[in-house]
Amino acid sequence: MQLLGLAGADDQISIPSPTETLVLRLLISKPMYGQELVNASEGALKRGTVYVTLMRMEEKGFLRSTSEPRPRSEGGLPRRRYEILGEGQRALAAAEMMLANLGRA
Amino acid sequence: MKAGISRVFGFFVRSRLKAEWIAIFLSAFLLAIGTLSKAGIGGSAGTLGSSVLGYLSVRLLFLSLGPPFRKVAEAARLWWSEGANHSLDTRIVRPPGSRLRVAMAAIFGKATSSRLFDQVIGDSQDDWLEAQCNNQIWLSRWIRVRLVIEIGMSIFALAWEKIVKNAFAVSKGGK
Repeated sequence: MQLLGLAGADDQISIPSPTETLVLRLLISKPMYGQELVNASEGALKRGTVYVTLMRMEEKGFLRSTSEPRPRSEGGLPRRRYEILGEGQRALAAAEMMLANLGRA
Repeated sequence: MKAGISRVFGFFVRSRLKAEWIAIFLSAFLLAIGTLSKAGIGGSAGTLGSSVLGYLSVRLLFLSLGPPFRKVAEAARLWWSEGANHSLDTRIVRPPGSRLRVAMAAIFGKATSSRLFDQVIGDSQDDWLEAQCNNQIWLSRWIRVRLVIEIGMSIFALAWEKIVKNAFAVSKGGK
């Protein structure tokens, strides 16, 4: 949520919230659907709120989502696959660095 | 037209349970009206009596209309399906959230709906379908209830985020 000035006024990295950090950690290995994220988080993410978080992260430029229609045999609503972007990777690195510094202090 | 006739008459045939509910709601409504109108003890007894009568009359109406309506509904369905044998006991089941989805798109807009509510509804529909396939009736009912809770949580989270964002913008503008 906060903006951390690391190098200068133009070079700011947005520090993700704990939930956002968790989502970024899960997405770093491979792109996932929302339901996969909920399952992989082992109860830390809830289906009712995860999509709001994902939407916010997309607005921040951490993620990109693509709508994938289901095969005709399956039916159902199209799902969105979420993929981490460079900005998200930088934000995750910054959050982990910050956490490491806090642990050391 | 044919489908409409079959649907209207089929409603009365399949709706013994619905009739029960309609009768209960009607009697509760009559009772509430009577109680709210401050009718006193004698009046309350009268209201209770009229609500019981209302309940019984609705039940009687549905029970007596059932058999003749079944014949009309069966004929209409046969006419509609051009001879194919569809039983009246076969119900078309709507997956959970199909009406909720339309409502959410109308309230929050298509973009938010497709990114947020459609995803929640889609996941719930998957769970519901799995439960239906495994004949887990109570689980599928619970999934319907859980979907409403999840949609409520999503709306709350979305509203909270907007509030925080606006408060942040106002405080920033104030400085």
